[in-house]
Amino acid sequence: MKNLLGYRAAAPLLSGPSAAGCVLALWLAFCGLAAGQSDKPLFQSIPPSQSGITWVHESARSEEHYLPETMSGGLAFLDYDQDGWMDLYMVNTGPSEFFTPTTPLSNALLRNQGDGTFRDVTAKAGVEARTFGMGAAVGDYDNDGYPDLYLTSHGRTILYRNKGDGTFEDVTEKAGVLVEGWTTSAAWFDYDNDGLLDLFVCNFVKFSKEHHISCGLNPLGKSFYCVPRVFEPTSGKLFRNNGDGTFSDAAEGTAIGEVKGKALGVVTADINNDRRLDIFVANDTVQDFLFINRGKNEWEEVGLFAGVGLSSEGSAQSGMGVDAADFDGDGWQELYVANIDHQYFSLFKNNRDESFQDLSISSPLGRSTFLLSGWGVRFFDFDHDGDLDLIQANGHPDDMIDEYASSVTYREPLLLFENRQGGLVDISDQAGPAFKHTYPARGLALGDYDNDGRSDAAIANIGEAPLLLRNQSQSGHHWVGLRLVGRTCNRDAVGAKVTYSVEGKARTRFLNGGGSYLSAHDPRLILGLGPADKVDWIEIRWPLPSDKVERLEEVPLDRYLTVEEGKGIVAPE
Amino acid sequence: MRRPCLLGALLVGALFFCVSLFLTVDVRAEAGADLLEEGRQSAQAGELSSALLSFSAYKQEHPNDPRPYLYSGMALLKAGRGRDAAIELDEAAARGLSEAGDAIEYARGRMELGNLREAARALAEWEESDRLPAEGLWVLSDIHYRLKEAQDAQRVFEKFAARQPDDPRVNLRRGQIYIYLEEYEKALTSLEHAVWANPESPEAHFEMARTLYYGINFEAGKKVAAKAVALDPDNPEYLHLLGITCDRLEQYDEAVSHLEKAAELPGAFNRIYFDLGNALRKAGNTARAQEVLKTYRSLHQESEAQANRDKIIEALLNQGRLQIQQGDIGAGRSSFLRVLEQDPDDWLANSFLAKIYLSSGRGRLAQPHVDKLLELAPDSSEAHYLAAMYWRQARDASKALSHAEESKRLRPGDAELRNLLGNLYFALGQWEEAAQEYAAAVGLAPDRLDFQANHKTALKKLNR
Repeated sequence: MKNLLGYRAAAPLLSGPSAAGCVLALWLAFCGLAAGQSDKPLFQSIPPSQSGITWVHESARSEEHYLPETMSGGLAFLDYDQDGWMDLYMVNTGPSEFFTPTTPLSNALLRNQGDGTFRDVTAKAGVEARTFGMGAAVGDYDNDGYPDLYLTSHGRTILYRNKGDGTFEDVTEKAGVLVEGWTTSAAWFDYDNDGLLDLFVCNFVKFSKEHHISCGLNPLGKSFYCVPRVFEPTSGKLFRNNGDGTFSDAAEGTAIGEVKGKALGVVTADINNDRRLDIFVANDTVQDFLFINRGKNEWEEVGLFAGVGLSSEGSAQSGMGVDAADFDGDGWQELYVANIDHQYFSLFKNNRDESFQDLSISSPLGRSTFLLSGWGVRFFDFDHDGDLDLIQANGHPDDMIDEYASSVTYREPLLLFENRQGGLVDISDQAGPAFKHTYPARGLALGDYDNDGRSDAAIANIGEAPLLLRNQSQSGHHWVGLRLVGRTCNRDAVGAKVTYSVEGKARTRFLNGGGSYLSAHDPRLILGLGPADKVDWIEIRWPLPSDKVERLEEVPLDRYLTVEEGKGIVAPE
Repeated sequence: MRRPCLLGALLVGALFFCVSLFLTVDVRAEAGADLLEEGRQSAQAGELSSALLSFSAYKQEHPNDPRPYLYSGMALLKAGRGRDAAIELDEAAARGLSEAGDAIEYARGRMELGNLREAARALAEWEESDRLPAEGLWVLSDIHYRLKEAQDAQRVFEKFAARQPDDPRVNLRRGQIYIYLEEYEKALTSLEHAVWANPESPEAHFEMARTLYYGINFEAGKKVAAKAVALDPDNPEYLHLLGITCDRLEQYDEAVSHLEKAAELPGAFNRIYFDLGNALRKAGNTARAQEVLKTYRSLHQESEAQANRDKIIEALLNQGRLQIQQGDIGAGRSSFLRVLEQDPDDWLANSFLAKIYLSSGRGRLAQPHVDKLLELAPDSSEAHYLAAMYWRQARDASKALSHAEESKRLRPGDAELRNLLGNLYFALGQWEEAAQEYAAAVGLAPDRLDFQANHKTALKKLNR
């Protein structure tokens, strides 16, 4: 029966369930619950005593309330020593013109020992950084097989080249990728398809102690953090990889260099399937940018025209975390942006014509996120059912918000959304005790640190210890893990498109650059098969300049496979 | 027997004196009341100068009465002189509004100036102590509504509705508040009553259509929005709602048609272009969509830039005030100078800078700011006061006196100003005028020992 207004019930995103669909959903949910009935929660928080991760982030909070104090906390999953186990890199604050640490602060490289524990190898590896750090981007820019690290900060950026012997060297200035100011997220990707990873760096706002603005007193009579509106916007940076260990400024004279934003999140993804990676940038209080790559370093900023620049009411939001993926399985990538509280987080459906439709309004996603401030975010298939789910880390930037706001808190819960029939359903309350706690979360990175094929999560909490969440979902579904190694294309195969078929149904995964907030993820792709016990085929279309399309059949299940461009499966791991 | 007679005579004399004094006061008060009334009538008739003269005359006699300032402020507002109006309203507030009616008028003035917080503050105490008349409750609820404080708007509104249940605005406003609270079913019920009570009300239809839109009932919403448009075809807001409702129904051509019409109307607002551009895109007219969205982008960027500038100025002013309070004058000065980089005409920054320079004896640096203040508001008592200070430092007593007298005309109840005038007359050797001004300063600020000392000195000179 219709209600008084005759409202339609708010539909899940992308497709509205029919009555039969609802019954099916209930049945599936029941089956899922039955299958998952176990003492183990979906995600288990691993305490420092178990993981060995004792490193703690320092927020650098001051009486003056300098804005960078609210933003730090990036992290990365990377296998720096190529031993097959995902290590962790954590970014900390540090000395700056407005902060003098009382004890020495450092970033941390935590080596995965393969037994569920991590060991701090920062000093040995030479990656302390000691800047007022923000985030990390991981990419093998010199194609030597070892992932390199690019660090953003308030102050100066750092490029650590991985020497392959367990140590890194700071090559920032030699490589020509030094950015001074306030940089946030960054992404490695090959925009010109020359087989070398280029670099996009988000610039936030012009901020210095000299030009600091104190916004007066909050309702409690205390100083508070200004909204970024009061600071001047800046342009993003694009560095072209010259192939000789150096980079050139490629933003100048392009739309990237021209438009000014307050960038916090970036994902590079081919949104129009033209095999050129585009750039989606989340800006705070400025419209989000979608730079379409027209080739030959020609960029067109189409955010507004594409319907992803502004809210559905035409206003700029406070965009922070971003991601892209083929969420609805049509072979075209959707975009996701996490905003601040009282702004719906947006899921933009790709209309396949360089335009998008915002599906978050009146959706369960909109309702679940309306009072939260979202930072790290990532699409992933946590239960191997073959469709993409979503995890979201949240926390309000104002540390005093609890004291004068009734509906918003500083510490906020994590969210886990399950993709059910094309709709995002909030299942956080079933995800385990970790999802019932609250955190001052910022960065979020996904990585399978125990190599069990289930994506685990690491979350950076500002001013606190990080959170390591072990994925323990008991779906019983099979999976295939792929580690792609490019030869003609960039070695990380960023830009690769993987299509796989299970029981006649094809699904697509894209290997994008960036995504989330200040964070970098395990580069391996995990393909969930659902209840099927075999995968029909897997097709890998390697990024340009490679023209290869690799088709794998008779693929072994439940393990990671290394696939080399032109050679097929070269090694199970 | 002589003594009683003398006593009787004294008593009669005292009685006569008291009566005559009372009569004098009464006559003066009456004359004052006449001035106020005259001023209000002039203001109503649009005769601003005459109104201001009457209020100014009243101020000289009753320097602590907030009403002439309040009425001057409202008259200036009516004449479109917002900045001057704000100064008068500040003066009124500083003197304390003792009547609820005046507080309501003051709140209305603040609303018109966009100072919604201050407007709410002016009525809050009255409301809390249940001394606010029904109309005041309506105004306060409206302020909360505009501030998007839905809970407070509802609480105050329900007080109003309890007192005036038959007011024709009740159902419409209740519905609007429910929309804010996202309680669409309740909103719809109220708005149905509003439409039933007034079937020709375009606003009631519009709000009902809005409710249906938010409630994702686009079919029904379209019909009601169309009715609002039929009742008032020249309202861009109604046409916009009809357009976006059609858009949600995927009737893009019709959406474009309504939005095109809305964009051409006077009062068209930026968002129309945003929705029109998107509807055009969906209707397949990409070239025109790009054109319209470009228009939107430029309008949006302009308004955002202004909003950002306003935020920066607000932040820097707050910062500057705080720095001054903390005694860091140099930092405060730097903050105010940064404000002027954003807006050279900012009143507060110019005023603070003038005061900073004058108080450190650097009149030459104060001068451009004083000149700017006089240029911005030639009727401002503050500007004339600072000009008087400046010319005093520049040792031009005549100019100083002229500005101080002008300031006094506008703001006679300012003890500092009266003391300054005393100083100026004293410096010119006009002991009598100096003593009068010092006496006025002492009367206005009885606790100020320095004013008392000045007064004594002037009296001594005078007696010599």
